[in-house]
Amino acid sequence: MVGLDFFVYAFLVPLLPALAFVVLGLTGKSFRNGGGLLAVGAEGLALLLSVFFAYEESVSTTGIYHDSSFVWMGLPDGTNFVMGTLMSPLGALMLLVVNIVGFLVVVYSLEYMSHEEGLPRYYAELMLFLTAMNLVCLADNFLEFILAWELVGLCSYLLIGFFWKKPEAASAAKKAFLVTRVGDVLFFVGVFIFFTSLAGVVNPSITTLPYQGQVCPGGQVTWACAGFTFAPPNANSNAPFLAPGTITSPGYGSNLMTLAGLLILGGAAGKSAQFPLHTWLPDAMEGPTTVSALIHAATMVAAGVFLLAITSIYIGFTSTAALVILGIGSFTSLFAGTMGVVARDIKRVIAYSTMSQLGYMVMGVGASSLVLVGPGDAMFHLFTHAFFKALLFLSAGSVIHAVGTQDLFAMGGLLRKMPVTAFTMLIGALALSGIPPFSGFFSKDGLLALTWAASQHYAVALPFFLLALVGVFLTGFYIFRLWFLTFSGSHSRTPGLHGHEPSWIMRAPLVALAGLTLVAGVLPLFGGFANLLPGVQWGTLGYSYTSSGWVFSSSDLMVAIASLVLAFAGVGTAYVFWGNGRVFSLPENSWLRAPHTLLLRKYYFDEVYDGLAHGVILGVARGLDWFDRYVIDGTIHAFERLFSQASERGRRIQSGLVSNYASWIALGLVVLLVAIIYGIPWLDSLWGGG
Amino acid sequence: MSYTIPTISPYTPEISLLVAVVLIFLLDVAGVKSRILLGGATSLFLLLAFLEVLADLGTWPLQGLSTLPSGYLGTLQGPVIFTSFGLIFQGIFLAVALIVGFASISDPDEEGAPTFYALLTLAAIGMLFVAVSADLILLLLSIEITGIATYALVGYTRRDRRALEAAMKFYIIGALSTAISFFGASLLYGAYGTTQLSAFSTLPANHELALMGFGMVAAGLAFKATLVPFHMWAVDVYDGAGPNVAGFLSGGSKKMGLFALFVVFVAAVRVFGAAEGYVLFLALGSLAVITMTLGNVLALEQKTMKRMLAYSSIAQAGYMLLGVAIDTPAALAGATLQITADVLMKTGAFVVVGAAASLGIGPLITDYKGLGHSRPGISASFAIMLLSLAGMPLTLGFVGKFYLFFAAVEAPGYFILLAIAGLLNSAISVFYYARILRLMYMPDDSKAPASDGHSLTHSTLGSATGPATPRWASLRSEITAVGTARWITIVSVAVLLVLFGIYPTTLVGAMNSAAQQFWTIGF
Amino acid sequence: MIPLDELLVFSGLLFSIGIFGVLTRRNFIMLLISVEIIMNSAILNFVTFSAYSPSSSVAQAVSGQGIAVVLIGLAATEVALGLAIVLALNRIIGSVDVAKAMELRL
Repeated sequence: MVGLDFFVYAFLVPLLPALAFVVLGLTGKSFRNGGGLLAVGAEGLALLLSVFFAYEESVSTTGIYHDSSFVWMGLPDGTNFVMGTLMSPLGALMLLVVNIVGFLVVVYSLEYMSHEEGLPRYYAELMLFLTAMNLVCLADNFLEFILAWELVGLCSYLLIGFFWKKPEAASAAKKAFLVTRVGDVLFFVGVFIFFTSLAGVVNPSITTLPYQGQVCPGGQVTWACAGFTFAPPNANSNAPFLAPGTITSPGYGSNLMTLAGLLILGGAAGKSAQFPLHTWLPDAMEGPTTVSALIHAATMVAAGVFLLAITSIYIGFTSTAALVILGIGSFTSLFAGTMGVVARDIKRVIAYSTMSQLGYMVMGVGASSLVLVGPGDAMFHLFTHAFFKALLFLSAGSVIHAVGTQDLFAMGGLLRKMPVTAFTMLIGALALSGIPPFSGFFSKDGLLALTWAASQHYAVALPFFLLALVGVFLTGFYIFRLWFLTFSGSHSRTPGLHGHEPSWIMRAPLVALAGLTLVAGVLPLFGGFANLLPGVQWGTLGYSYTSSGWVFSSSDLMVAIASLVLAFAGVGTAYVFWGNGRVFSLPENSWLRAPHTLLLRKYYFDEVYDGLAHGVILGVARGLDWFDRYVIDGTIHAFERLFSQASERGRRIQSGLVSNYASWIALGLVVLLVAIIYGIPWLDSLWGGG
Repeated sequence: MSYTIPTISPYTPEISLLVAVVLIFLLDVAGVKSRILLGGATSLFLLLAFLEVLADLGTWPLQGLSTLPSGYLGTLQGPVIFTSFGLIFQGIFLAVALIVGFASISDPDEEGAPTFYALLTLAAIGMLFVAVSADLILLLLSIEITGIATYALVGYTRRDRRALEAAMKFYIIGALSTAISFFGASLLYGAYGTTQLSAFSTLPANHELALMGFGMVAAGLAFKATLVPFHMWAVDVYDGAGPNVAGFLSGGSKKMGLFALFVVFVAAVRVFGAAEGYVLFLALGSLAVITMTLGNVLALEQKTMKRMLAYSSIAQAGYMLLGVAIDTPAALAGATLQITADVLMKTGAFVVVGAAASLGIGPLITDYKGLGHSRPGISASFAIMLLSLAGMPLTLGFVGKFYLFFAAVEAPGYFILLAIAGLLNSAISVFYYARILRLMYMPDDSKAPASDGHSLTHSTLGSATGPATPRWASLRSEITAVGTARWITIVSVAVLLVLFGIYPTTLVGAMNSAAQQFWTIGF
Repeated sequence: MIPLDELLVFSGLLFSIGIFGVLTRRNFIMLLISVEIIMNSAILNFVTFSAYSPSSSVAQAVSGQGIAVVLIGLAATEVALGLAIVLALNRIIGSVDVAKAMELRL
């Protein structure tokens, strides 16, 4: 290595919150305010470090992957289990997201949570979560990734259930854990398939499988690696497209790769709340709002997208998997938006918007796999989304903190009472809707353009592109419905509702996030930031900035105009229905009643899943229980009895008389000698004298 | 005939221990009976010898201490050969002696202290020579030097009836086995004309004589290694001897027997004709399976802690014998790992039994009820040792078993059956280890009456469940009651088990390369 | 010179007598003697094989006799320790009968 290889110290980033976790877990009660300041300090240092590492990564001249690992356990057959850190562009970007949002949320918690019980537990769990999340960003192999991923899931469970005395919180925590578990199982199977089918071709083992692209012959790291034959599907295309069945390297079953890709999508769908594993996310809002902002908006749910992004090079091996990913993402973006339109709970509206935006990201990964570029656009949206979504959540938290209710229809007229919060939330809402010059516009535009490009080559993708466009309209509509219902009007709908601005400890993170929301969109134009987003096509209104300067594309312009028009239409419609303190409610006998109920009941997914759980799963469980009780336990008990009796009888051989012991030795000697002397001729005859 | 005087530098560990023995004798003559002084001096010398062995192995950062000319590794020097595998075992033997010697400082002070430490050190010297023998006679003689020292060690107080009975049984069976193995050695001498282990790599003209010789040597060594049916003395002797001595027998003397089996049947007996080799390894493989099964099954219904540990120790010997029976470098490395783990966990467990006795806890397993609440330090350590014995992940016991069974699966032929037998046995063993864990951490009767009928055990801890004392204070009183040296030993053994369980790479690497070298080069 | 076969048969007989003694006697002293007989059969074997050694190497040929001398020393040491143990045991249980020392069992 050239010079000072400081990337070796990347392990410090997860270590700092881990130390805070240990200290808080052991001695948290002896701190004032539950040790919040310690948590802020540890996370602040981790933030500084991750900014440093991200900067160094973006301007690195020593290659883009910096792996520092050691052999943790070696097997006699040569397989080595490795542990260590991998600093990569995507990982560094994710590290930034996690620690910036994490730090601001911990600061915000100082006041927001100050009246709650069990603060040491809260901060300790938060620190454990940040440890795990940093490990996810830095894991250098799948084994370590899975360990960290599981830890993230555990922390999410613990934090959703933080108010464990509330039955809703406890059941929401359980639901989140179980639903993501389904995805995790799929993910593990997918990794196993990758391991077995890629083993010996890409790399010897699961433990060293480089999952963020690979080094091609010649030492150059690219997303579409040489060694596989990528045949352009049509002559007009200038991008190398991967047609099904053109992989010529040995060991690749195209179908197997498709399956593995879909299984990995399952894992990502569980964590990122994609259809049909989305049901846990709205319920997860039972946790503290800070937790919702950190985990269920900005970081953990993004881990699913991160997983897809880092494995996208493998998923790109088959277009089928990539198309399914694109389809699931775009469908979820619209599907979640429809439910957001009718929700009454301020946090749930934002939760649906999270699902919807994650859908855009998943769609982007699928599209970039189809076009065989890096997942930079999806990651860019993840980056900007983290800030404006955390901003929305923390602003909502500030509102809830002030008025003590989460029901949108009970609020109204808070603009004058809480101007700063209203303003920051407006910025977040504008970014979410994709209105320029806020960051959401730039990243969402890139995703839509990418999907349009993919649909040019795969016509199947075109309807999904249209779904995503409809989603843009809905986004603008439901988020401004929320904003108008909360802030507009001259007075609140509930008499005696007193809003007030929170103290500066809570306002500072809001302002910081608002600032980030403003600038994040144009960051790829500066310095080496674009290096953290492999394959990103930063662009606006048809112009995109590439290494060879500005490039104009008329189709990109059309996409941008369409999405802008739709976003403004959404905001405008919201104003018509809800602006100026208006409250729109459906007439009693409207034909829209039935769809409205359908949406309010979340398409009855909970009911269907519950029915499934009660009918099928419970039945199977009863059967298994019976099997377990009578067959397995019965067998075990029978063996236990058998062994106990054998043991009881065998004990009696131990007579205590030393002469008997000598007799056993003599007997053993005789048997041994007979076996050796007569065994050899016997074996010889058995083998026919060979 | 000319000869060169061999350099003494490789023998520094042995010489250090000899110095220690002479020093103990001198102190005894001078009237010093203090355990702190004698035990401290012995432990220091054992530690010194241990560091010298590490230095001989070339382990950083002790290279400056290195005493072994590099050319000695793997080359024959008369009846003595220095291999890295042997040196690893020297380290293992010294570790056992160190654990027992240091923990014994906390034994009640009595007249026998100089005798105890002198015998312990002498036994360690014998073991060191076992590890470097290249001649069958030197091997058996060194084993017998250790044997004589340990016979005496079991009964050295000369007052305890049970200990003397144990010494008597140990002595008779030991002398018989020694005589049998020397008879076997004489047959081998007749068949080969020499007792050099290197000569055994080919089949002699009179191969029936040789096979009988090997069978008898194996029987003699099986006594030391407590293989069924040569194991029966072990239970009574471990039961009757003091807990620390039992730990030494189980951790040290038994491992010596296993090492001798490795030397004779892995390194020496190698180019046997197909049938001959097959029969030997088949015999050893069935011996291994019988041993582990019988040990585990008989451990199930034991009432006293020491006898239970004795049977579990016999079962462990079965696992380790797999290293010989499978006969691949990986299996040998796995067996060595398992031996290392067992040295820590089994010796540690016997030391815990001694500590429990000093706390006034009876010999029965049920007497340990509620220990987890009243004595958190040693209970946690004991729990770690039991989990390691059961082969639970994140402990060294798991690593050893994992490598051993992995080697069995990887090996060609039907050795996978051995792995399956081992796994089934591990499952059986969980029953009796889990029972102790449950007893130790069972909720107090006073707080929650146990729902099952047999909670009326004679718990000696009734008085210990008084008003809650601060945690640190109770830990301090625990250390005082158990004895500082013993407490430190127990806790550090448990910590080592976990540390090596989490990060076994260094250990595994050393064992793998040593076993590979030993297996391929042999003598 | 006595034929090799006869010497081997003699030592085999000694070995069997020793084993028989160990299995049938309950008196500790008799057990001790029986074990010594087995030991002596081994020693006799070493001397025999040394005398009939086909090896051209003198060192190898005479090594059996050296081993025999060492083993005689070893046997003496063993007996000394055995007697010490039986004396101590006799003081406590008042007998040299091993059947009287059966407290450790099952």
